[in-house]
Amino acid sequence: MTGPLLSLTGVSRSFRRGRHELRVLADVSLHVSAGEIVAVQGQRGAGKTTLLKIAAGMEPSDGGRVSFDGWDLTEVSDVQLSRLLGEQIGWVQNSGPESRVRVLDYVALPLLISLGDRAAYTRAEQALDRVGAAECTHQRWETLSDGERGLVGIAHAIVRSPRLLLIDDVTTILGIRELDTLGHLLRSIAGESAIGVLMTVSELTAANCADRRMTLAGGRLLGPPSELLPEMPDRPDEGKGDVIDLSSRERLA
Amino acid sequence: MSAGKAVLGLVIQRPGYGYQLEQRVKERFGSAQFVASSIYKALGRLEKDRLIRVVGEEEPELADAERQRRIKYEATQRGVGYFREWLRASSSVPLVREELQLRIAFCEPHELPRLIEIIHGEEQVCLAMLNDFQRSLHVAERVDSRREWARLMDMAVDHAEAGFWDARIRWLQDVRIFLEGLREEAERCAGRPVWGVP
Repeated sequence: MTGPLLSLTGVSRSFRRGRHELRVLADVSLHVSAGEIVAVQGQRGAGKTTLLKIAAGMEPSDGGRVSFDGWDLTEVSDVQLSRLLGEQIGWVQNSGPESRVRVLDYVALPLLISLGDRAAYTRAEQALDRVGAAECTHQRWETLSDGERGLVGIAHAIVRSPRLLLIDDVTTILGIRELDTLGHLLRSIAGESAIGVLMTVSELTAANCADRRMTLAGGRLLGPPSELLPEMPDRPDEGKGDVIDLSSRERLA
Repeated sequence: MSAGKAVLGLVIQRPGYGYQLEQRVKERFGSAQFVASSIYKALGRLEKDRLIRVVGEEEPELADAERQRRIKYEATQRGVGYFREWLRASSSVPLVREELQLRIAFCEPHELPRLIEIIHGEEQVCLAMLNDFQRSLHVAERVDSRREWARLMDMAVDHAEAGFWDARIRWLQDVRIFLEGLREEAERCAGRPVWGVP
């Protein structure tokens, strides 16, 4: 496959707040290629989680198009969407399981039904080893540090070998060294397994591993133009977002 | 921050004596830490460039600095035009923080859409600076095999650099969202006076 793994084109989303309409996403376009890490910074309430949910097809948009690996997520059936979410899209969020759940059980959970206990636990151990959290295997979630929870969350998401990782603001409470560890891990996962990563962060300091950084504020998604600074356009609108050409996508509805 | 721009903006808002302008500059732009001499030098330059002029009686017998303290200045048409042009100008490199503060401080309601676009552009410029910086780090990672200690120290310094841009971008986001809110408020009040401006 060539072209982006994930594409959002002209996506909009608003919510009603009393008499007013809150515009969270306004004509947002972005793409993530296989092996690439894209970070979107936004402050609390900026719409980061909404953006990720729309990217995963879990929440409808008011307009625009979302495609993943050639599938138009705004058009696919619930069954197809469920399969994509189950097999190809990994979700990492900043909340974990119930506090007394054992780490190995949490990581194996997504595979228990499809693979059975033995294979699921083997894969879970491999995933924990892959993220450098093997020593957490038999601990309970409540005993983990914030950094360890970040690593285990990633193990939980990659255990099904997804092609896309969506990471929702898990770096907020991490220190410099933990951010570095997590950053190296994500770069290694993205590079070696050609996984595309779309991560949201509250602060850009937490996005040091990203290939590209964008910001989301007031509904606008901003990305720097690819040109060098002296050649940047004076009119900001000319560099707004990264609009891609979807005309060559074969499997789009 | 340019003392000249700060003084000119204040004179346009309201004519004043030199000593009053010195006071107003210090009150309004305290963080820039202007010294009195730079404010009076700026008054001299602005007068010479015909961007401001003396109102009323001259006091020629006084030395320059004392004369400037005691006379009243007002902006010329040329000064107003120059200043408003500067407020609307774009920049492809990050503006000095105080310069952007100046533009915000002297923005008139009808200039709000342009100011929003300037800030929007500024966010992009800062993001581009950060992206370029981070990209250079990734290149360095591949070719550099320095000792662990040096790497850890670099990590802390790099975090500080990213933190600088992050703080700046978040401030810009806050200001832009605030200004966009004001613009929407004005649009809702279309045709009616808003903020005392018809």
